[in-house]
Amino acid sequence: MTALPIIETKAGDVSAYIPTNVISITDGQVFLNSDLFNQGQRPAIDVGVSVSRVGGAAQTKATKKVSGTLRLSLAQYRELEAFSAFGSDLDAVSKQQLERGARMMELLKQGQYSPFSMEKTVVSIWMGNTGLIDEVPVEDVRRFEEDFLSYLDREHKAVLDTIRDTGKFEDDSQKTLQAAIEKFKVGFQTSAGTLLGTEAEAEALAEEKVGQETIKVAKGGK
Amino acid sequence: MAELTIRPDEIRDALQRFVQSYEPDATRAEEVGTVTYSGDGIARVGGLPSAMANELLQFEDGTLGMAQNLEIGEIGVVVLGDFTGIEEGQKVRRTGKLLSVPVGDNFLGRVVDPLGNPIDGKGEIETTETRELELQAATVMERQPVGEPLQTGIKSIDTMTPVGRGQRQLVIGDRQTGKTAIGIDAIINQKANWETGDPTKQVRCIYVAVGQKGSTIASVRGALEEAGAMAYTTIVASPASDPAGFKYLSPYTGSALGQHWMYEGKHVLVVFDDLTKQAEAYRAVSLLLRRPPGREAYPGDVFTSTPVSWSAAPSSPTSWARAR
Repeated sequence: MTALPIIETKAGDVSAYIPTNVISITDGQVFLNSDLFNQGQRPAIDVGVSVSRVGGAAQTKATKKVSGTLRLSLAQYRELEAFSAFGSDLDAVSKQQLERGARMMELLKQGQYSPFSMEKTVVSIWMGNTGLIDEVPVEDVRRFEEDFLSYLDREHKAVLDTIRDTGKFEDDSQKTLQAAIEKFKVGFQTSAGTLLGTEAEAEALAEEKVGQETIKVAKGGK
Repeated sequence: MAELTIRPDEIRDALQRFVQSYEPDATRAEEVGTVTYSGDGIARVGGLPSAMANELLQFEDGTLGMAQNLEIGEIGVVVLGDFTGIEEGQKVRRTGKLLSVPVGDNFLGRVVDPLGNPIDGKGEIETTETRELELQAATVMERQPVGEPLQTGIKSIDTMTPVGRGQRQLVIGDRQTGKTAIGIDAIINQKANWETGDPTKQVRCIYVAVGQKGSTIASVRGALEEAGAMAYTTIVASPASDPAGFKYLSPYTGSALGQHWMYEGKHVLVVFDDLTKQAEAYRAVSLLLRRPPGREAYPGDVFTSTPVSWSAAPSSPTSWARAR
C-alpha cells in the first residue's frame, strides 16, 4: 500500500511542529515551492529539498539511466543561474550549461492532469540531458517535446514499446531516437517562424556548367 | 394394570433438552449508561464501566458514538453524526463492537463518508466484509522491502524523487502550490495499469478528502471521472462542514479500505488530502475531551494517532514496507 499524505505548510516553513515530525515518519518528501509556482515552474517541485529514501531501489533501469546525473546538473544550473543574475560575463562552458539547464527546467514542466508514461519521461529527460535540443529556443521546448513525442508515437512506436516492456534504455534505442530527433528537428518550426533545420544553402553553379539547351521547332509540313 | 416404568434414557433426554435450552445471554445483565453532558459533538456518559476504548456506543435516538476517554466515573464519547438530539439523562447502550467500516471492490467508483455510507446518490453499496479502523500494524516480518516503482506520471518526481510501491511519500508545500494536483495526477496515471487487467500491475486508488470545501471535492471527482480514473478509485470525503470527529476518522477509513485490498495481495495507492486538517480536527476533539494540550495545543499523541492511519499498514519507520 503506497501512501501520498499531504501536509500544508505556512509560508514555506518546513521546520514547524507538524511538518518536521511528519517528514521524519515518512520515506521522503516532495516539497512544493510557491516561488517556483509563481515563476511558472509547474509542478513547483523544489528538487533541492525533496528526497526519496527508498524509491531509488524501485526505479526502472531506463529511468535510472537517464536521471542519474539530473539532480546534480540541476543543482549546478541553479547555482550558476544565481551567479549570472549579477550580469557578469560568463565563459562559453558556463553559458552552455545555463542554456541546457534552462531547457531542462522547461522539460520538467508539465500540465495538470497530463501524466507522462515511463517511456516518454525517459525520452524527454534523455533529449534534454544529451543536449540534442540545445538548438531549440527555450520558449519552444515544451511544444517541441510534445510534437516529437507524438511523432515517435506515429513513426517509432517500437522504440517506446521496447523501453516500456523491458524497462531498459539500450544503445540501439538511443541510436534510433537520435536519428529520429535529428530528422524531426529539421522540420520543426520555431515560434519565430524559422525552421530549425537549415539545409545547406545550394551553391550557385559555375558558369561553365550551365549549359543552354536550344529548342528548334521544326516548321513546315511534310 | 400397566407397570409404571421409568426409562433412564427418557430422563436423560429430558435433562439434556433442558440444559440445551439454557441461554446464558438471556439473563446477562446489560450495562446501560446515562448521558451526563452533551455539546460540541462530545458527550460524557456515566455508568458503562466495561466499555472498551474505541467501542461504538448507541444513544437513545440511534446516533452512534465512539468511546474515547475511559475515566473512573464516566467516559468521553465522540458523537458520530448529529449531536443535537442527545440530551442529558438519555440512555446509552454498548454495542460490543469496535468502530469498523464495510470494505470491498464495490467501493470502487464511489464517494463515501467516513463511516462508509455512500454520499454520491448512486444507491447502496453492497458488501459482505467489514474491517476495523484501528488494527495492529503489520509486523516487521510481514513486510517486504520497496522494490517496484509506482509511476506518478510526473517527470520530476519519477526521475528525481521516485516513489516505490509501499512507500509513504509526503507531499508538502504552501497552499495553492499544486499539492492536490500531484495526488490526482498520480491516480490518473494508474489508468494504463488498470486497463491491463493484470492484478500484479493494477493499483486501486483511494482519495481521502479531509476538511475541504464540498465544491473542491466535487471538482476532484469530476476530474477523475473525466480522466476515466473513477473506475478504480474510491473517494472518502469529510468536507469542512463535517464535525471534527468525522474529519479525524476519514484517514482511518481510507486506510481500512486500502488494507483490505492490501491483505488480498493487491496494490493500493492512498492520497490523504490533507493531514494538517486531520491533526487540527484531532486537536479540537482532544481539547473538547479535556485531554491535556501540548505544543501548539496539539495533544501529546498527535503523531501516534495521526500517522497511525497510514503507518498502520504501509511501512514501518525503518523504511521497510510491504510492496503490496
